[in-house]
Amino acid sequence: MAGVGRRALLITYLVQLVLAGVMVGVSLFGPASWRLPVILGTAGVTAALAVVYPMRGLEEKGTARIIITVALLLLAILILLTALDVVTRGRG
Amino acid sequence: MSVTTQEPASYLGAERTVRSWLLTTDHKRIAVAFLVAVVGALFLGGIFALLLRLELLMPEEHWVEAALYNRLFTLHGVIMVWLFLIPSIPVTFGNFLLPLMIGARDLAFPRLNLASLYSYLLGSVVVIVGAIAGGADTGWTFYPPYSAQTPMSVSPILIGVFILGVSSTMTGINFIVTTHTMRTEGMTWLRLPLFVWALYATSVILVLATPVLGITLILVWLDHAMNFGIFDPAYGGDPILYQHLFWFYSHPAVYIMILPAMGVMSEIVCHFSRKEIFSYLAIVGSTLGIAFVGFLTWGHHMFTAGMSSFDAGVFGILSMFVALFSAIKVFNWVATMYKGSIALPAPMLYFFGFLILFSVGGMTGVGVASTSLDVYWHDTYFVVAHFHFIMVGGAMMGFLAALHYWFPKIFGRMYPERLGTTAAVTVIMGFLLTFVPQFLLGNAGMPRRYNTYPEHYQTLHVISTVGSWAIAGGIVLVFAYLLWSVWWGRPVGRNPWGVLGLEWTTSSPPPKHNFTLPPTVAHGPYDYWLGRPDEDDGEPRT
Amino acid sequence: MRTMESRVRDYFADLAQQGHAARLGIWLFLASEALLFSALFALFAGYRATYPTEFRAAAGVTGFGLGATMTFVLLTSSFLMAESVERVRGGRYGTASWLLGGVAVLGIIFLALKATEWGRHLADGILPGPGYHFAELPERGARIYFTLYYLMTGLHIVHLAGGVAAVGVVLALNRRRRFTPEYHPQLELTGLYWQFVDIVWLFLWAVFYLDR
Repeated sequence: MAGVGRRALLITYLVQLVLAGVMVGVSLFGPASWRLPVILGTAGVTAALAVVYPMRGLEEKGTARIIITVALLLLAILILLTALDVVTRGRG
Repeated sequence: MSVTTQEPASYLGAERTVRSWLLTTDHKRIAVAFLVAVVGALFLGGIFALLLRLELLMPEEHWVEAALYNRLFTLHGVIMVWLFLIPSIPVTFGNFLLPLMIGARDLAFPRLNLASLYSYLLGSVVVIVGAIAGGADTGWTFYPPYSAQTPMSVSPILIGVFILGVSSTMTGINFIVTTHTMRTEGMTWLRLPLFVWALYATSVILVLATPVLGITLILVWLDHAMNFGIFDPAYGGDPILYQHLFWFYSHPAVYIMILPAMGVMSEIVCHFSRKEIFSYLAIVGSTLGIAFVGFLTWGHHMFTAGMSSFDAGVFGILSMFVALFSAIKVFNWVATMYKGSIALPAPMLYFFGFLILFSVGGMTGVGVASTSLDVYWHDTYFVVAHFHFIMVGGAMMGFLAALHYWFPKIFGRMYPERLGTTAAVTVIMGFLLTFVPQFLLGNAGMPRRYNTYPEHYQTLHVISTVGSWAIAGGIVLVFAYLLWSVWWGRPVGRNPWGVLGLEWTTSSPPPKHNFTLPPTVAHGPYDYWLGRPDEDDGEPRT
Repeated sequence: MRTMESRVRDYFADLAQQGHAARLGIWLFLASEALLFSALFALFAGYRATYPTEFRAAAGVTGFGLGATMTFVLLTSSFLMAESVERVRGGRYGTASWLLGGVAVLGIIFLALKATEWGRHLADGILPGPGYHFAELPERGARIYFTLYYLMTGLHIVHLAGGVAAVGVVLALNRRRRFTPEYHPQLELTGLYWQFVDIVWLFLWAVFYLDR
């Protein structure tokens, strides 16, 4: 089975460090209102890189990809609808 | 047509030491061990039901006081849901049949299968220890803040169920990997028996939903045992958040309970109508559809809990979709029978019971999933009747149907058909007697989980209790003749029903490694138009 | 030494099928773990929406520098982990052993940093649940925040510790030359697990350290 390649792994690592730095920067200097979504989004991109490169997520057959997608979709819905309950209470 | 070569020893007799059973990795032996255990759980949970229904014979407290009554219905629920229904069909018939149906020699991870058995036994023991220590009185739903405050022994039950969840997750992973990687030559995805598809969809739910329950039980245990106050309003906690997490698992859990039964019904209706399923793709699609959409509807258990009306609206709309898939299946099964050649042994009787009871249960489910109606019906006997129609009328019928259908394959002997018919009719009639009055009670305002009630509800309660005795009688009869048949039933050949299916091409009971040579599949699972098989094997004969 | 053929279990057709089954199994396990952590994140999200001010104030108490250091440590360990798999694929078992050792050391460093951090919090009166008596932030929302903090980072370090143990086992297997460039499932699975634990940390870091 072909590997991802050492160069791709090194670049992934460096990009992840940069993205972590972005998260730090937004935390320190970003405006309060969109700080959390941007930080979480950046964390998501960093995580996606980990799934694609060192975890070789795209190399797996369709099965594993469907599992990952479905799991992500469901956890997003769990978090979203739970939070939305609290956020929308008292709005009639 | 005689077999000239020596048949290998059956899986039951191949090795006879105790050690060979305790450390077995043979999926068939593990299935039989699970069968004994879940049937034990069924009886235990049933006893609690009979006891609580005895109390309900009279309007006033006469036999057990309220605190004990609360523990009876809690233990009934916990044992029936987690020790019986959730594992039932997958760990018994799923374990036994999945490799056989796909032409494999075992599951992908046999040792994980054994671990699943032992964790089930451990979890069950811990729950029963909790029951003996007094039991919980919170209901099987363990809602905080009461579950944190109650002096009853909730902890062992929470921990026991957590361990059972680990067992479930292992089974789910095993089944999915097996189905993907171990299908024999020619067994394409669209030639899989519908029971396999049902197990697959169930396994997806097992893997993705169970962990949420696991962590939630730990949280409520921390609240109970160490006063963590995660869900305690006195510390700023929100009990409704618990309910979100609990029902995120527990709604898909009901599909864990019903999908395998639906898979069994697809098998039985085809084989006992001697006909292919009306639409294979529709059943597959609706099976996967139920598994996925079932994850999106959990809030309909919380309409009156204090959730926002925005969320209530979202969940109300999403809940309507899941019923579509069940309806597609019911139409499919009925259409399959049309112009079929129908036989009526016990499995088929359970199928008809299922058809009617599940349909009623399902339609009342649409009712309680409608916000405006549920505001009235929530926490009444209407809901109790609804879910018993599905759990007993649906899932348990599936278990009993599977038990009768595959009994000759698992044990190599046939059960007495006349007793089978009698028991099936008794169970179905007893069920109607028990639970139809409960719809009426609930609609008239009788709340659930109460041991006393106003006098004008008594007649319906008495009828319901008498019905519970009929169910019990029927179930006891079933296991009496099945147990007898294990040793003294009429021995059968490979294919006593004369039906299609890879599992019917092996001996009854099958040999340890299932197939001497890996089979090759050249047609679909219900291709009766190719000709009917004879009793020697499961291949069509023109 | 056992031949490759002898490693195939009798119910698998060949090594490729066996390897594929193992990988699929671990992805499913990781999916279940993702849902496990998500339940806690959902709980966090619900409470974050209930107590936004207290939560942000409490996030200011966690060590910013310490958090960033821990992230750097884990990201680096993941890089070394991925590299070790590449080395084994290239037959460079010696280098792989060093890399795996590095992963384990970084994992232990992370655990040590966490222990220091927890020690500091405990000394300040920040305990989970009923023991909470942090004078600076006595509000109920802060108490819930820190209870969740201990629960979620606690669950994470349990998983990390398990990962370190797995790396130890894989290191031992590698040193006994049990791997071949084509077949090294224990290493692959441990690698996947390790990456997953790192991913979870990224989100924990985001909500507990950066959302001030």
